[in-house]
Amino acid sequence: MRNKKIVAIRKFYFLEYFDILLKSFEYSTIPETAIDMFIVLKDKKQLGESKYKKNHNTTDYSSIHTIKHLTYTFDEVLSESLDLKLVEKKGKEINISPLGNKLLGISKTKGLDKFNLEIFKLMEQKTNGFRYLIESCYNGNPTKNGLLAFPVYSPLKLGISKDEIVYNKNGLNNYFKVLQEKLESDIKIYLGIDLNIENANKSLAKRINTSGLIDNYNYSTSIFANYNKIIKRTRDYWINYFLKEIYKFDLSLSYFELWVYRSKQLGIINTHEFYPGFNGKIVYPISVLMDEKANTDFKELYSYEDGAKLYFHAPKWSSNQNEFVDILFRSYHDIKARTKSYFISLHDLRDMVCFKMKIAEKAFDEFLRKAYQLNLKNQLKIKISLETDKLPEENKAIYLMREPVLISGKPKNIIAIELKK
Amino acid sequence: MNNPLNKLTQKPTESVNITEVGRFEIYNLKENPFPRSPFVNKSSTEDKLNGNIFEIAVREKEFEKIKNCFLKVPQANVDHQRLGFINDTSYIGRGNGKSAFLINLLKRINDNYCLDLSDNKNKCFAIFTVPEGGGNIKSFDKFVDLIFDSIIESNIINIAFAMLRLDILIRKYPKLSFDDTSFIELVENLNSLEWLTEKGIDIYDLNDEIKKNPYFKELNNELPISNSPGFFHSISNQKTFVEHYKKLKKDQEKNDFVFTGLVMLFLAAGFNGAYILVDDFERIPEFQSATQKKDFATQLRTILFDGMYLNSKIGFFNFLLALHAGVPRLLETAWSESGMENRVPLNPQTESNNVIAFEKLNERHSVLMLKKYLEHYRIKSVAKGDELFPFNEKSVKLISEYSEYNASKILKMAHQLIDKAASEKRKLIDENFVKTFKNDSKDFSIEIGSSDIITTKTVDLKKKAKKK
Repeated sequence: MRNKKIVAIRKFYFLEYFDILLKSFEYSTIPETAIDMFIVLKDKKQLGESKYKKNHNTTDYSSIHTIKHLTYTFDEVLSESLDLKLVEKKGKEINISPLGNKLLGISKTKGLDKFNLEIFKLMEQKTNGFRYLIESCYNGNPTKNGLLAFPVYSPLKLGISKDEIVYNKNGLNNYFKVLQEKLESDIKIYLGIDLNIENANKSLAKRINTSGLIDNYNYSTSIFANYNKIIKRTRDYWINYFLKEIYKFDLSLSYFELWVYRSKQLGIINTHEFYPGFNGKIVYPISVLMDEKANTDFKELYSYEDGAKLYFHAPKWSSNQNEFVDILFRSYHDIKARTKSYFISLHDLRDMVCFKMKIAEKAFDEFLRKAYQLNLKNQLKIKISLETDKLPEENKAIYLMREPVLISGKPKNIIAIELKK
Repeated sequence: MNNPLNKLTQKPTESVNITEVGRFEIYNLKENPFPRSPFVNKSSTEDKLNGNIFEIAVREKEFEKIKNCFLKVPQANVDHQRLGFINDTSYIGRGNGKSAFLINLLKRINDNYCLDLSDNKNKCFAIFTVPEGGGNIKSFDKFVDLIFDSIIESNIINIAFAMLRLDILIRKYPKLSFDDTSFIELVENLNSLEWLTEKGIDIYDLNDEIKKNPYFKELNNELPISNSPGFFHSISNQKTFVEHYKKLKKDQEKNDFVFTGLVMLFLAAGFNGAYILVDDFERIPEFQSATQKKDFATQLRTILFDGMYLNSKIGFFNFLLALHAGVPRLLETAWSESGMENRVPLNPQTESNNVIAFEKLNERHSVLMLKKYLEHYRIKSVAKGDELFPFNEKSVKLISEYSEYNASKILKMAHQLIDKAASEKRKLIDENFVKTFKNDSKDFSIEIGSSDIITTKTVDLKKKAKKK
């Protein structure tokens, strides 16, 4: 089933990079000059090198490391753009192709979403990668509509302290054992199958022991020094295991991530890394592949040679408003009961509502804006308070781990909902 | 037919016990002292709701800073602070007590018009206002309307006229007696044409005397205080001012009226400053576009500092804006673009005289706050050490923890606890009772599994797509 071309994509997450690359070559056809514009635009759009957007424009151009990073990203985007024939190489210069110019026009006149859609079509023509991803999701967990859960448990989550692992010779193995049991029970819950993963666990233990991270003569010191690395490797090992062995993906974790985050931007797949009440990451399709759809809440995105079509879920406000407000209200109370606070994180609420309704984040933002307007006009039985308290920039981290919730273009962070008395 | 006498004479078999104790009497309380939904409503007549019960010790730090940096600084000094921010420092929602604090500040200032707080240097009044939510106020013009409305609500124009007239009457009619009249009555009488004529006052002369006040020398029709043409006497008061304001159509006319005309009136009456306390100020910038924000900040700057208005020259109106945490960020750009940041920094990281940090409560504060509410509703005064009864310090500590030290939540929980304890006729509200309550309470219970990703009902897209 897997198409070899699927690993032909380059290593960057944001589709917006294509847009800024074209704009950079519009500025100059010489790559060495174009990169300057690329950096300016990248900072302006807060694009990070990872799958997260950047919090501040804090790029320090004096560091060799940063320049290397930036050049790497630039080269990757350029290389994929050459593949997609958006640009052409002529000697030392790079020219925007007629196709590239057409897309640049779309970006400028119709906006980035339409531009991304065109990029999607080009990528899909070449790779069928998005189709592979969506089909694999549905096949990976057919009973739960393609929901892929990747549970992650740090030692602390399982009640094991760092000291217990560092100063106890059996501490790490104990963690592995407890983790194995927990994962087995999760597999039973999420997939409804009994699976013994003892062998996989043994292989993990062997890997970690021979990784050079643990020095048996200086056991505690080495574990202490490499603690975070060991925990991260354990986490990645199991995510990889779930991906390949359980969900049967023929794709490495890093490519999987790339496809998932590119799909998320297009609104065909959702992924949540902090879903309320779940430890780990979940991925699920918000689009379907079928020959013909009947429901008007779906829009065709792509038509394949074999007649199959990709439809994404785009529910209309008029026919879905009741359901939305109902789910919004119930989910608010659900999260409120967990956090025990009147105001709750709007991001948590968005994740939950998107998951229940299988809609994209942008659709949620738009629906919430509409519901909020009705609430201001006193047309709803509930009262919604949206507050800006704690802006995303005030977070100390460098990256924005979750896209801001924008209501009428303004970021909102916390929400409270109550029934009118 | 029944004997009609029976209807009048027959008695029920069960008799009512009139010695029954009141529901909260066992706690030496007249009623549940805590509000059910603790959000301040300034116009409520109930003390537990209108912000009347307020333990100033809880906010001593904030109050002292306002006193030292604002109230005590002579208004005559043109460099006095004209704009301040009361910044909430805790991020989680509402209910930290800002509104209650502002209402009490309002009362403290108006009790003696600031004379006591400023060692007689300033005579200032305060008005309180809160913009409606929902983006009704986006322009500065609408904000001026809001200020004028709250000036009217405070009755301060009538009070100013009463001050002016009383001065003249004492001078010209020494036989008039004002004893045995309450403040409210006095203000009402001095603004009533009927009362003044009844007392034999020459209205034409009285109006003329007012106009002779040195502050009105520069007056060019900004204020409707002259004798009206025609054959009937009339006097100016709040009502005539409202009518005048309604006729003003242009923004400039309104600004002239509020920031020059009214300032003259208040100066003439004997005030040398005023405080405009704006609660929930974020309701304005939240709905403004970047341009609207910048315009707003620029106009604020004009009326406060740079304009040709009398207020800009002397800084009569001082603004105190209460902001939620995070709001400074909303205003940051507009503030620096309009040049306000240099004059009145908004950045919460900068320690400056015009920024008052509104901190979260602590354990001691919760104890003080609950004591104050209990004290207000006691039947008999209690001995020292029993002020918290039926609570104790440990149970209050627990309540505060469960309520995340949020004043509003603490009060709500105290309301529920004492209500439950009264139903169960329980003598004390101790730690255990609070713990059991928390576990039983619906508000706090965790619905286990309800948001589990497996049991959650989600849309089945494949099915939905097939359905017409």
